[in-house]
Order: sequence, then structure tokens, then C-alpha cells
Amino acid sequence: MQILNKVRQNIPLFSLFSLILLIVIRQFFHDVLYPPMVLIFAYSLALFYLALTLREREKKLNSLFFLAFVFTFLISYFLQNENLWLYQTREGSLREENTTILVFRTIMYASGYILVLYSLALLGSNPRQQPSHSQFLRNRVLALTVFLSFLIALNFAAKKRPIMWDATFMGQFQLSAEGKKYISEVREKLSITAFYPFFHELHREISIFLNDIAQTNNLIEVSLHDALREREIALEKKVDRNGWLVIEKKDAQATEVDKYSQVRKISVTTKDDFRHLEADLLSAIQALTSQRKNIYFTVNHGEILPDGNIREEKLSIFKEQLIKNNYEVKYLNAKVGFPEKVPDDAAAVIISGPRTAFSPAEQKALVNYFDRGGKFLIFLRRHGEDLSFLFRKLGLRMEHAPARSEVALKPKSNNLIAERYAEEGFTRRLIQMSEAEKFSFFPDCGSFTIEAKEGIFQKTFIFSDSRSFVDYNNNGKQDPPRESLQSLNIAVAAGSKTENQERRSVLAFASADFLLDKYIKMGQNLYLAIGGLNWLLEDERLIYALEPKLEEKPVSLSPRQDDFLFYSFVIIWPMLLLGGSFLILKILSPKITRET
Amino acid sequence: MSFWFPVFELSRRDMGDFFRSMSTYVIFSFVIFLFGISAWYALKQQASIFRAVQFIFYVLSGAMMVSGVLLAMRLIAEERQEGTIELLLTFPINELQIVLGKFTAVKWILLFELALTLPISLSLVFLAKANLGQLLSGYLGALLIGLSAAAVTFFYSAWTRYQLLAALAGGANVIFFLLLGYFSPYIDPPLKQVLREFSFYVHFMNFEKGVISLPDVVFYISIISFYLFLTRLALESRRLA
Repeated sequence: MQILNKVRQNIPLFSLFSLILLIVIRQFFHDVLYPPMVLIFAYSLALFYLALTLREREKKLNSLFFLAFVFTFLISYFLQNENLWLYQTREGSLREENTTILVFRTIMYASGYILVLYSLALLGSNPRQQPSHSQFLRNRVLALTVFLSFLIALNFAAKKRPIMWDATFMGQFQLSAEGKKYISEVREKLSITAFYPFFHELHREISIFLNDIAQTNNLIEVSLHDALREREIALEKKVDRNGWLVIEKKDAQATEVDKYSQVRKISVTTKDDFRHLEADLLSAIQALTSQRKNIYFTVNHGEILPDGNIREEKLSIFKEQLIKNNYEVKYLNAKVGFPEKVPDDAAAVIISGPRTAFSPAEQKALVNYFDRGGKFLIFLRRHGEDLSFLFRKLGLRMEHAPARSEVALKPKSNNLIAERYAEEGFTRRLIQMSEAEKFSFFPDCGSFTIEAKEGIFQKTFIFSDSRSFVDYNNNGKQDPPRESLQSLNIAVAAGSKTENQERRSVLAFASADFLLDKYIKMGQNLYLAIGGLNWLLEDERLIYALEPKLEEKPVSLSPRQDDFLFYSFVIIWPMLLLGGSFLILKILSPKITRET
Repeated sequence: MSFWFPVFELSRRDMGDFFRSMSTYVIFSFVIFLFGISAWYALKQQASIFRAVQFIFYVLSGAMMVSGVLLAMRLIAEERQEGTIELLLTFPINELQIVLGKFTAVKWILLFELALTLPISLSLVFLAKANLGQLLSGYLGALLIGLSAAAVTFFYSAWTRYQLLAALAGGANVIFFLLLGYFSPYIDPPLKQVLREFSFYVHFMNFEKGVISLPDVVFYISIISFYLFLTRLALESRRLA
């Protein structure tokens, strides 16, 4: 009884020390599930009961205790959720029984600690009996310590799981829904080291963005440094200035040579760079976490090639984007065994504007590749090879006559501008864009006709406007009735079809020039080319689909609006408030004072 | 009598005092003027409406801290100066209720002050297509930073009978919190991170960009509750004396 009285008199001090003891025990029996858990929870309940009995006369405080109890469980729930979340991502999905144990255990631990803290805070800060000065001081210091510990714990928990709501347009500082999905599917350990000092204009943006990535997948570690002040880290990452992001694959068994290829660097130094960061970062992550796919370009038929000699006829931008999207660009020539066969490692074959026909042996090899499940991304010229040996099997035919439109980009009436897309696959996102953004441009455009075939699926992805026509006699005018106004098929896809499945084999565009460096950045051309390839390879997670974040445009106010803002809110509104209150207080002041 | 009734009554009484004081309207006018002129200037100078709103709330955060300090300096110091603190302490209310009541009054005054700037924000929405989300986030941040400055000054107000002294001490403390963020880049880790976490402005940076983040909200709430706790202890020690 004496001991119990002693405990009651010095309850805050006793509790604090025993709490520390419990934490030590908890650490010591880290691998033992039940005893420390039961001990901590029983102890906290006992203390809680003691607190309630000591304060039974103070009903209001008791109700506060109960509120605290509810709050405690909410916090515990929050913590256990996080714990589970960590386990889920680290070790895959847990077995059900383990999950229950984990949930229960974490609730017990968290509730126990927080209950003790509550009890201590309330007991310590409000003793029932009038204390002496020294007791008062001791209680207050303890209460303050406990309260401070609670606040630190709360801040730590919030920091550990920094939930953020990006209220800006398009969520400028966070991953898009597609980006989030992609990042959450990454199964390899990565680290992102960013070099942005506190006063860098992009420090905050990068920090929020990286936080979002780390929150989406805890296998990805992120850190921010100052390359000039933290030289060791900068040297280790081979960075000599701020404004770099270094993305590394953390592979413990990698050799020095491997490590060299397991690093990607992105430079983001301006606000405009930041708009593209998501796409660049995810491309880099993709390059590190997935195998490169080989893409073969056909050659020797007058094709437009990535490394062509003629400056005007090059696909260097297209090639650059292919590499960013983790494709290896190769050529289909004798070195790789063509025309005997198309190499087995070919993810797809790109045929970009052949002028002359393929030899029978080449045709045979390409058809063989098609039959083996091969994929073709095709860009045709009006005056070039029409690939009928392949298209016939799919019910497609390239119309050589120019496709013209009244709304084409002048001076040529067959420079078609397309704004109509099928609502599926890679074109779906284009439909949601504004009129000004969604267009694509097809210089010297032809068109496709489609004939239904058994066991083949056919889709049109891009249509011309409804005032287009096929100029069969090539006189630059519409001659009805044969040349009727209609929407023409500019890009079509086809493949084999069974009852349950469609196998994507061919995606063909009726213009090859739209890939050229000088046109590919117009409208959505680049997106269509890369997005189309990703769709064809059934890898739509691929990132080029991500559009850049919102572009910043200066505000332009008319002089009247400017005057309105200035006079209304800089002069009239503050003066009105000041003058009005002065008048009211001066006139009504004696009356108000009397009433008061 | 419920716990909250005296809190409500005390906050009503203090709010009445605030509204009868000319200095409150001077503070209101000062904040509106700063908000208005920063809006007008930012729309001309900044690269986009996003940057403009960011700048406006940067200015507003400073204005809210100043008004938080100026409003809170009188809370207890004035009662002491006028000798009404003894009367207040003889009422059947405890220190916690006094602290909550007085702080609630400041909270409503600061909210009212922010509401007075709404016409300017709405003009930004209609004239320059400002993002409502960014404005909402900025207002939340401005309120929290203002309340934090008020809570800090409230504590000093409980220690002295001179309002000016309370304001100076509160202001100095707030400036100290601000400087922690500004000087943290020049300090080596790990102290750098610790100091940065204590900075008022560092935690406001997300709000002005339109990002409401839980750690920042928790930080401000922690600062407010910690200083209110200290204020309560200060009042309790006075009762004991």
C-alpha cells in the first residue's frame, strides 16, 4: 500500500522512467511478438485507469481523457496503415494471418505509447492537490517534456509520411496519375540524388516532386544536396554543379562496369526544364529498370533514316526519343542476317517511307516475321512502295492519290491537319486536349482504304476533317461525284483476331514526311509516332505519353483592368475601411463605452 | 457549465475589445493595402499568374505575422496593465480556458482580416484566371503563420504588463524562427536540416506554391499548441505566486 501511495504521489516521474524502460525492453525483444506488446499495452491501460480514478471528480477532464483515447486509436490506425503499406511494398502481399497479427501488434504498441504520453501530460500538468513550489516546478517541467515529446513524435510521423495535396492546375509539382501508376510498379531499388541548394529557384519544386515519388514507392530513395557545400557526395555522383538529378540502380552485386551503366543523369536548371521533368525522370527510371528493346529500321529502299546524310531528310529527333524510351535503334541489313530472316530480338520493324520495292527474298523474310508475331510501324509516301505484299493480308490499301482538304495547311492542299482521333489506345488522351493543342500535321498525305477480312481486326486511329477528299485525277480540285467530301483514314492499325484476343501487328501512317525533323515537333506528331510504337508493342506504360506540365504565360491586363485593381484595392478599399471605422468609432465611441 | 462556454464568452468579450479599438482597423487597412499593392505589382512584374499569386502570398505571410504579433501583444499584457487580470483569475474558469478563449478571439480576428482581402483574390480569379486551389492553399498558410506569430507573442504577453515589450519579444522570437531558415543553407548537415525544420518561412513555401502538406500543417499546429501550453504554464505560475 505504501508503495502504491508513493507511486501515486510521484506518478509523472515514475511513469516517464518506466516508459523509457519499456521502450528499451521493446528494443531488446525486437523479434518476440507478444510479451512486450501485452506488457506495454497493459501498462498503459493501468496508467490510464489511474489517471481516471485520480480525476474522477473532474468530469470534464474525464471526457477529455476519453477524447484523447479515441484520438490515440486514430493515430494508431494511421501508423499501422503505414506499417502495413511498407510491408506490402517491400515484401509483396502478406499472407492474411500475418496481416492480422501485424495490424493488431502495431495498434497495441502505438496505443500503448501514446496513452502513456497522454496520461503523463494530463496528470503532470494538473495535479489534484495544491502542490508546493518545487512539486509544481517538477510537474510542469515533466509535463512540458512529455508534451514536447508528443509534438516531436507527431511532427516526425507527419514527416515520415508527408501527405500532400497539390492544389495547382494539373498538379504541377506531383506525379500524374499515369506516372504514379508506373512508379508504383517499379520493383527494383533506386536512388535519386538531386543537387539543389536551398536558395535554388527549383529547390522547392524538386523537393515536392521527389517526395511524391518516394511516397509512391518506398523502394525509391530520394535525397537533396548542395553540390558546392557537400563536395563528397557531389564527387561520388560525378556532379560538378547544382541543377542535376542522378538516378541510380542499387544493385549490390553489380560490378564496376555494370554500375557505370546503372546511372542516369538529368539536368533541370530552368522552369521550362521542370515542365518536362516527369517524362524525363520516368524515362530514366524505365531505362534503368527494364530491358532495352531492339527496333530495326529497313534500309536500301530510299527510306528516310535516323542518321540520313541529307539534313532535310533526317529522323534524328525521332531516334533521340526512341532512345529515351529505352529502344535500341538498329538497321535491318546483311550484318544482322537480313534478308534471310528478321532477327529474333527485333521488338518491331520500322519502315519509314520506302521509295522502291522490296525484293522477293526481303518480302518473304518480312512476311515470315509477321507470321511469327512480328510488329511493324509503317510510314508510307504517296509516291513510294505501298507494301501490298503485307497489307493485302490485312485488308488495307494505301491510296496513292493525294488526300486534300479545304482546311489544309497552305500552300499545299494535301498538307493535312488532323484533329479527329479514335477514342482508344494511344490517341485517347489527345481527345481531351484543347483544340489548339491536339492537332497533328501530315505533309503530302495519302490515305488508306479498309476492307473487312475474316480473322483480322482493323482500326482507324486518325481521321482527316470531314471536308477532305481523295484527288484521284490530281488536279487540285474536288470533282464530284467520285471525289466526294469525307473523313479519310490517315493512320490505321491491323492484326490478327481470335475470339478473346487481338494481336497488334501493324500501325501504318499515310505520310512519312511527318516524321522528319522539321515537322515532327509540330502539334502531336512526335507523340503519335512514339505513342503509336508503344501501343503496338503493348507497352503503354511507356512514358512518352506524359505531357509536359502547364506552361507559364505572362498575365496581360487591359489598362482599365489595371486601373481598377490599383484604385479599388490599393487606395479605395483600405481607405474606406480606415475612414469608415474612424468615423464610426469617433461618433459611436462614447455610446459604446457607456454600454460596455 | 460546459468547458467551452467560458471560452466562448471570453473570446466574445475580447473580440468586442478588438473591434472597438482603432488600432485593429489600422492593422486591417495595412494588410489590405499590402495585399492590394503586391497583387497590382505582381501582375505587372511576375512571369505568370502562378508566380504572381506566389509573390502575393509571400507578402501576405509577412503581413499576417506582423498583425499576429500586434494583435496578440495586448491579450494578457493589457489585462495586467489595467489590473483586470486579478478579476479574471477569480472567475470560475481555469487557465486553459483563459488561454483558449483569448486565442480564439485572435483567431477570429485574423480570419476576418483574411476575409477582407477576398475581393482582391476574387478579382485575381476573374481578371487573371488565378487558380482557386493555390489561393485556398495560400490563405490556409497565411492563417497558420499568422496564428503561430500570435501564439508566440501571446506567451510573452503573459509575462509582462507592457504591450510594447510583449510585441518586441514576440517579434524577435518570430524573426529568430524566420532567420533559422535563411541561415540554414550556410550550416553543415545534420544541423542544417534540424534548423530548417524550425523555420516559419520554409514551412510556408509549399502553401504559397499551392501545395498543402501535412508536415507543414502539423508544424504550425505544433508551434501554436506549444506556445499556448507555455502561456498556460505562465498563467498558472502567476496564480501560484
